[in-house]
Amino acid sequence: MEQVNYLDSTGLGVFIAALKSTKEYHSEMRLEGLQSRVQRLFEITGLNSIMNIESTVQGGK
Amino acid sequence: MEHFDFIEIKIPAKAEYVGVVRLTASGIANRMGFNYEDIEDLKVAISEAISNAAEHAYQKDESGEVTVGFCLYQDRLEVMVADRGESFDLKEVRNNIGPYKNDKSIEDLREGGFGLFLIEALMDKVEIKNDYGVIVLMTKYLHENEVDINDDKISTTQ
Repeated sequence: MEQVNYLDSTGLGVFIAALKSTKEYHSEMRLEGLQSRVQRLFEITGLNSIMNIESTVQGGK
Repeated sequence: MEHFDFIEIKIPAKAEYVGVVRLTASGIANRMGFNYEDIEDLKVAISEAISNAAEHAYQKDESGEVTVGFCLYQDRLEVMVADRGESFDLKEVRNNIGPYKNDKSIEDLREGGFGLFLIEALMDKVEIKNDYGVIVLMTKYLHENEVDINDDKISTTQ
């Protein structure tokens, strides 16, 4: 998700739907390379505690 | 009375115009001397408020408008987002907002409807009036040191 620099509640909703879908089909979802701005929204909403989010150091791959 | 500059913009209640106000907000906040993080917060919060107004208030009427007012004070920016159409149930909205909890089962997760929660998390003060349509009034304060840097005699074109 390195190229994502803007996300709103609609976008968060898409990830929630995706997470639900992975549970349904017994698969996994992992989010990688979030920009700090985008990661902040996951933290504010508490979604980071239920989603597998791989934090990367900014500027690193 | 405390002096402020006022900017008002009226857009059709359609999703494609949210970005226009987002850019306007960014320009205004930048002019006032907000830092990058605060400008990003403002953009998300204002977009959420307009999306709410557009989606909830004008579901049946496609000719609606959303009015956005910016009050530029020395130490803060007030943004009001008003729809004048059919109102959504605020009590219900408020009851349905809040952070996700670990113990919630996956089936209970909401896919939408936490725009207002994001607004409250990103802004310093949020007030909602529900008399004639819905008005969301959001305030974000400038940090002291940034007020000094951006004295209002300085033009943005310099």
